[in-house]
Amino acid sequence: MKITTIKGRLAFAASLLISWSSVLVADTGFILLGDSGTGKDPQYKVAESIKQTCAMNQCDFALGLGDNIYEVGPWSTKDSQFNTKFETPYKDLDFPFFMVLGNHDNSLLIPGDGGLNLRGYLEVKYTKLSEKWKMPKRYYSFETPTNEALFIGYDSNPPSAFLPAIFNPYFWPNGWYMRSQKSWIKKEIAGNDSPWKFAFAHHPYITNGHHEADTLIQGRKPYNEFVEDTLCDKVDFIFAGHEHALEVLEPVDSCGKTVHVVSGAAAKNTGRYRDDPTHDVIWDNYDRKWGYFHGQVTDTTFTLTAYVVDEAGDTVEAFQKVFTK
Amino acid sequence: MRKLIGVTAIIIVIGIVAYVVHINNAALITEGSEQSATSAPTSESPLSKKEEQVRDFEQKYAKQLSVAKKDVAFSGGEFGKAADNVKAPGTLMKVIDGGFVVRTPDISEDEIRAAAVTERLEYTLGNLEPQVLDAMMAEYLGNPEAMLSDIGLVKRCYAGACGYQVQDGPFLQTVAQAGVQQNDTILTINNVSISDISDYSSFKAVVFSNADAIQMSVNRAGDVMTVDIPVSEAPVSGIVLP
Repeated sequence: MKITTIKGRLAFAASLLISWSSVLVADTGFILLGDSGTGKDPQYKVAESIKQTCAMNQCDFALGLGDNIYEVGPWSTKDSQFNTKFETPYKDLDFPFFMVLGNHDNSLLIPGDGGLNLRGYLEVKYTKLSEKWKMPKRYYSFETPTNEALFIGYDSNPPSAFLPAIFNPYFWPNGWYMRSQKSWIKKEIAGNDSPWKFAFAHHPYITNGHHEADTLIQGRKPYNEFVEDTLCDKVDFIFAGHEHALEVLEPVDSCGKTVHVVSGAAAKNTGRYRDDPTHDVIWDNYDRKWGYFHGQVTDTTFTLTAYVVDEAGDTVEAFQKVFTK
Repeated sequence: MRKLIGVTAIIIVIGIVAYVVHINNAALITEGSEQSATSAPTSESPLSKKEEQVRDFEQKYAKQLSVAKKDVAFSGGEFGKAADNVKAPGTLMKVIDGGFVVRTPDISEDEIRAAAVTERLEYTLGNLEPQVLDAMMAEYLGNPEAMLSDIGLVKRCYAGACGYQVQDGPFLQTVAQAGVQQNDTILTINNVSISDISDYSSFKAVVFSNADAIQMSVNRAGDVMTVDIPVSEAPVSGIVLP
C-alpha cells in the first residue's frame, strides 16, 4: 500500500504514534451487559458471543447492569438461581463481574416492582460465596489497576421502583438511604483523579425506550434530581440497562457533558421505542436482537464497541466510536 | 542493528493495522448513524399488566400515598438542602484479585437492614391500620417468625408460659421510649396471652382490639409490669441514622 496524499501520510503517522503509545500506556478492557439473568438460551448465546469477543479483545472485567436474577430475584444466598442464571451461563468467562441491583432483583408483589429493597441484601451477601460475582455493597466504586478510570456502581432502585417503599421511609425515593448514597458518591468523585469516570446502574437517566415513559407513583423527579446533582457533568458516561435494547445517546443539557449508554439486551430483546423519542442518538439498536458493549479505556481514549447477537447466535460488530479526552 | 530493524518493522505493521482499523471504524460509525436515522418508533402500546397492577396498588393505598407524596423525602425536591443533613459514610478500601481497588461505604448490610426495619416498624406503629400491618407482613410472605426475628424478638418459655424476649434490635429501638427494656419478655398483648395467639390473623385481631395503644405486660427479671405502646403517632420522629 502506497500512501500518496499528505492527509494520508499524516493519518498514518498519527496511527503509528497511537500504536506506539499504546505499547507504553496500560489500558483496560471490559464488557457492559445488562438484564442478563434469565438462564435461558439467549443468555447462553450472548455469553458465547462475549467469550469470542474476549478471545480477540482485552476483557479484564464485566459490568452487570442489574436484573441479575429474573423474575423476582433470589430467595436466599444459596438459591440455585445464582447457578442457573449466573455461574453456569458465564462459566467460560474468566473475569470478575461487578454487579448492581435491578428492579427485578428487588421484587415484592409483582415481578420487577422494585418494592422490596431488602431483597437486594441477598445479592450483596452472595459476593462472599462466588469467585466471579462482585457486589461488595449496594453502591460502591472501583478503580482499574493502572488508574485510567473510576467506576461508580450505584443503586437506582428506590427512586425508580414501580412500587416505591411507601411503608419504609428509609428507602423512600429521596429518603435517608438515597441521601446517604448521594453524599458518599459525591465525596468519592471529588477525591478521585482518574482521567475517566464512569457510573453504572440499572435505570437509565435518559432513554428513547418505553421505560422513560413509565408512569411512576413518585414521578421521575426524585431519580432525575439524584442523577443531576450527583453524577451529571461529573462523570463521562452513565451506563445503564432496564430497556432491553442497545443505545448510545448524546449528552443532554440537563446532564452536561455526560454520555448515556443503555445495554439491557444480554438476555431479553423486548426493548421498544417510546412514543416520540426525543433524545439525539449516536447509535442504537431496537431490532429485537440481543447484545452488549465492549469498552477499552486508556488515559486519553475510550473505545466503545457494540456487538449484536441474532437468534442463531451469530454476532455482528455493529458500532464503534472512539471518545477522547 | 538487525534487532532494531525488526522492532521498527513490527511498529510499522502495527501502525498499518491500526490505520486500517481506524478507517473501518469510521465506516462502522457512519453505518450506525444511518441505521439510527431510519429507526422508527413503535405504535402506541396498551396499558401493560404491570401498569395495571401499579394502578391497583395506588388505589389500595391511596390514603398513605397522598400523605407520602407531600413529603420531600418521598417525592424529591430541595435535594441539596436535605443532603446537607446527611453526612457521607466513611470509606473502606480493598484491593481484590486483578489489582482492582474497590471502595465501599462503611455501612454493613446488617446496619442498613436494621435501620430499614426500624423505620418500617416506626412507620407501622405510627400509622397503624390493618392494611399497613398487612403491607409490612407482605414483605415476610406471611411468615410471622421471620418478622419477629428481624425486629429482634425471641420466643422464650418459662414454666409452661411462653412469651417473646426483647433483644437489642429494631423493636427495642422503636419502643424504648415507652419503657420497654432489653431482655424484657412480653407475656400478653392487649390482655391476651402470647400463647393464645396462634397465627397472624389472631395477632392482628388482638392488636386492633384497642384503638389508642398496644398494651403489653412484660416480665422484667421476675417482676411483671404493664407497658403501653402509643400508636396514634410515631414513637420516635425523624430519620434513624445507623
